Amino acid sequence: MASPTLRQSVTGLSDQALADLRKAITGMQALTDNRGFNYQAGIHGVNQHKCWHHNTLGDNGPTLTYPLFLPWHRAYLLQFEQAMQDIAPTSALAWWDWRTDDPNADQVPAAYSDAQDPDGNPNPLLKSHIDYPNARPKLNRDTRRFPGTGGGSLPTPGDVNQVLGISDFFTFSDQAEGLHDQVHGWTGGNGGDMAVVNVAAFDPIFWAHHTMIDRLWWQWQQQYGPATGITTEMLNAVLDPFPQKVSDVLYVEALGYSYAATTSEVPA
Amino acid sequence: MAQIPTPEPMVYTSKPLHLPTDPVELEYTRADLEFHGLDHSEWSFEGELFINNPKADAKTAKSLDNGYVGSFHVFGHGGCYGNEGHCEIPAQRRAFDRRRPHHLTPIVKTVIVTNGLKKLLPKGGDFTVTVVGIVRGGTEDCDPKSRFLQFEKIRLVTHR
Repeated sequence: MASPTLRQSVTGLSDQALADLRKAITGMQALTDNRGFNYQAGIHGVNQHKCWHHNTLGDNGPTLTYPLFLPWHRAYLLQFEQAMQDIAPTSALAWWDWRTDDPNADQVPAAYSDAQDPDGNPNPLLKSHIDYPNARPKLNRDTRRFPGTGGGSLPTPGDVNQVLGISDFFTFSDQAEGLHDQVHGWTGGNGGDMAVVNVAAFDPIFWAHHTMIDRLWWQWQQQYGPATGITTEMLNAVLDPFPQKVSDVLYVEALGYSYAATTSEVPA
Repeated sequence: MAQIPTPEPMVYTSKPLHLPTDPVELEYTRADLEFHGLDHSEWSFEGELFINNPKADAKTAKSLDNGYVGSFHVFGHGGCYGNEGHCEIPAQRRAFDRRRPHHLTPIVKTVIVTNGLKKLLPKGGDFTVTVVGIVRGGTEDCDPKSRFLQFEKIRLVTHR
């Protein structure tokens, strides 16, 4: 029986696990077809614009009565991780724990800010090359990141605990998305791609940020139940362009992965 | 270093909202300030919320003494990367148009302000909300002169 993929904290990765992650991302960045990093990143904003953010529940305009932010991004991560494993079978997404009580802390992990990997190669987690010549304006440049330059702060552990304590799924989803928005703005800063929907997913740290968000949902599900508060209409909602409906992404173990705080293994 | 020009902070003060003074209604367990019809087409920004403090600005300390009750964050789209019309929200949808809403459809943001409101307005009454909008991030394709803090209405909702 195949073992589920264990997603771990970026700062807790073994040298081998980090090397696997870098190998997968490097490989994807080299591909220009639909297996590649540019294609996958382009699902979110430029140029496919498929992402689900802010629910549009309200009085005006076309509305949805349920929030797809969490399930849509879970399906997105799943597809991306499968593409990673096509290149490096033992690789896995890792989460960036951005929580801090120190507003001046440099929370970006070294794995994502170092210019080179231990072998002296360019670090594929620092930046990626965006190539969308059909975008208006054209996009053909490396990603950029200026964390903290817009002021503000990252969420504190208390902020996160407060959100995890919300028992109603719709409210939890809305408030978790607020934390997510906060981290996007802080990480990109003034001039950085993480700060805007259109190009955020081209920055490799996007995937570590969203793995953290997915883990928060998983933690919430452990406490309140996988499907608690999700309406029948929402369960049947399609997560375009992925092959799943909301009901298909509620149980992470059934999707082939789980979240580990720590791991330790030895051969028999 | 980041070099892009960003818009100056924006400040908006609402007309008075009303928190009931009836003792029963004051036993609310949760109070939300909802921002409807919020624009998210360009910059990412924070909206800091101050109760009964129309003089609040980007330099005002986030303290209860200053009426601060929380903030919302908007993850902006970062301008338009499409052809002409790509980022124009259709005014109407055809009856059988089952596509998802336009990606720039205005959003709703909810800030849970229960504790702050109970301390600042223990007996209820009318109050204003001052929103201090501060850009937290964006790219060179965002308009540095953008009036980024735009929404249709504020609503107070209490639950008990």
